[in-house]
Amino acid sequence: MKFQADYFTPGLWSAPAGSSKDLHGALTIYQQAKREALITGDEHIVCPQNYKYSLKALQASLAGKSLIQCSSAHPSAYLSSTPSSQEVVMINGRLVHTPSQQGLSVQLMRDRLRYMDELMDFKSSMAGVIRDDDVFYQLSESFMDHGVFIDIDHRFEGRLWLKSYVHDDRNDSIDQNHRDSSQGLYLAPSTVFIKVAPDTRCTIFESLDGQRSSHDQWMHSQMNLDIGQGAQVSVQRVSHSESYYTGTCHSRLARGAHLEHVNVIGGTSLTRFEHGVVLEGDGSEAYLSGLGCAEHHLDQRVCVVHQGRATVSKQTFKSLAYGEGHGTFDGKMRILENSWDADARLLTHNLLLHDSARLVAIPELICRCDEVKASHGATVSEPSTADLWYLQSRGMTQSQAYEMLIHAFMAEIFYHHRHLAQHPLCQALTARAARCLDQGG
Amino acid sequence: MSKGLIVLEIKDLSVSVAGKAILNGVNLCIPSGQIHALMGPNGSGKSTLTHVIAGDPDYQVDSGDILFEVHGKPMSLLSLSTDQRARLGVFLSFQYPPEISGVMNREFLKASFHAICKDQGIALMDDDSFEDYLQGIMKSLDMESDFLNRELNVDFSGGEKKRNEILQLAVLSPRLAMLDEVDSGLDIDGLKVVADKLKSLHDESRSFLLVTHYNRFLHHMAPHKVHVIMDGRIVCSGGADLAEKIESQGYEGICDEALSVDT
Repeated sequence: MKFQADYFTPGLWSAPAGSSKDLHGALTIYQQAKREALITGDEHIVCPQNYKYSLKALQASLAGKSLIQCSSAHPSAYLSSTPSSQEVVMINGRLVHTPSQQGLSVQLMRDRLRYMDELMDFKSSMAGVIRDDDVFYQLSESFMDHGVFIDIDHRFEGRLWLKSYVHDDRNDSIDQNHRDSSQGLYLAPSTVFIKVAPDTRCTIFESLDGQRSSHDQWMHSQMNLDIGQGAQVSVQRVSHSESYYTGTCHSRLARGAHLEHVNVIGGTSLTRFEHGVVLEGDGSEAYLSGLGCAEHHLDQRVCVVHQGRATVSKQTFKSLAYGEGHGTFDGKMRILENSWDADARLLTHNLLLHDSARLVAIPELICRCDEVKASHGATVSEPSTADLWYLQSRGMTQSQAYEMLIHAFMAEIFYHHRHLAQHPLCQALTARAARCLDQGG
Repeated sequence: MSKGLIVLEIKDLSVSVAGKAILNGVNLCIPSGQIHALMGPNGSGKSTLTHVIAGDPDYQVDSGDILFEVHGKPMSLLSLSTDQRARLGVFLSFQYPPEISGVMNREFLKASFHAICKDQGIALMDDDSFEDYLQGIMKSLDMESDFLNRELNVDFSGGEKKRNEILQLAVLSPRLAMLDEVDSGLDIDGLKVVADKLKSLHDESRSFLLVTHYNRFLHHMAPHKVHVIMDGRIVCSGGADLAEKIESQGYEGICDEALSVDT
């Protein structure tokens, strides 16, 4: 594989003042990709493990391009309406709107005293899900300085919206720095740390919208979710990018905490999302579900660690691939010593809509404790011809029948999340899948 | 459609699957508004015939033709896809309808109904009008509204699946309804209920082709004609009394009698 030595051009890097680590993080991922390339020595992706898979795909896509990070955001030019009092809005990873609600505190990470201590404490708890050499996490860490810290306590009522956008300002005449960099890759990282106080109930909607652009973009997001004792948190997130997207979410649950997390993800290029959950406290519960649409390359990785006693996790993930889309789902359940009475379940269903599409499902269970319940299963299939014929026998055309079957496949994920199903990004995803199918990929 | 017009005519139809002959020169004629029954031993080709008429791509038509009356003229169905045949008015009630999770019964009925209306140039109903139409049919069939909120055939009992097929028949209002062993797995009371519902859906413009093993079901349905199919061809046809003979003599007896008449 050819890998250009001058793939990174510092001259085009417009990092914000005081954040020299940004440069290090971005370099790390490039260097890691470079090492992987040297090890395998060819352009074919032979390792199903999605970490290497993503790195190599990313590397192959980005080779020879320079990296650019936005130095400014122009909310007034980008947002069509004024954000509501419930919305945290970030553009290119920069906080541009802060909500004002009782029980909610939003501040920049760098403005928070001792935030590094809190981050280190959180990271040490997540040791079971974060690899030491995980370059995606390293990349996130590099942008922590201008990330956002959100505290939610029991006084909070209603819903919190986290909206992230990528605004490619290379076409904006006011940004002289980027005028000559149209061939580079535009990096938009966002980092959010949410701390939910004990006995708090909250629902968080997160959307990440990668703006359609004639230039390459790389949207990267990181969410750390620290859920206090007895708190109940529901997270519904949807991301769609027309270019590269990588994202991670790490959740820590204290005693009796409850997390419901549903993730809808799609993109027309490289898309990767990783969710690590540590059920640290006794009786904590995590219900995770997700839907991924692979049009080009999609990786979903989930790792749940059962650490406390009588903890419960249930994972239901679905992926569909169309055209020449390919991807992996890697779901891990780790039940540690002394986590008696754990109940861990994982189910993944994968649907291939075209002959050239490819999906790999890797459910894994590592159990180091007796007296637990655990199960996992995976299916990879095409749409049922019997189902298709049945629908057609009632008058629906083949494309109508396919569309109905695609919606049916997705329905389980959306069933309890009608609000999410109506999100424009979700509707765009399903419409795109049906359209691609109708066009024969 | 005037009485006596032929809605379905099958001419010397031969069908195979993976090189194996299943139907060997079937001839059948069903006038508009008539109820015909198709009986025969297991594996004789009853279900295959209904599937071939509906356009099941698993079967290969080797010779013959299937003609369906469209605007007063016979049209060959062989070149038409399954959905095109359905939109012309061909309906097959499945013996084992598939369970499709994620597809809600109401949405399925609506999509099917609109597909047919659109093809026939009938103005589409808005949601409220369709709901009224649906509720009217549910009421006439003594069915609970909850039925519509369930996923298509998922966790339905055998009887519920049959009733759902009948509901679809009522909503889509086809000109030819083929019912593949709609009576199987039903108890005596259930059989009568299903038969009564089917009879309520029969009129001068709708023909039925019933595939069944049981004379008891035909007692309720009172078919105009009964056909016996054996080894992939119809060996004899007669009135409702033919079903009585089958019950007393068995298919072998009927077959021997038919062959002796032929010679």
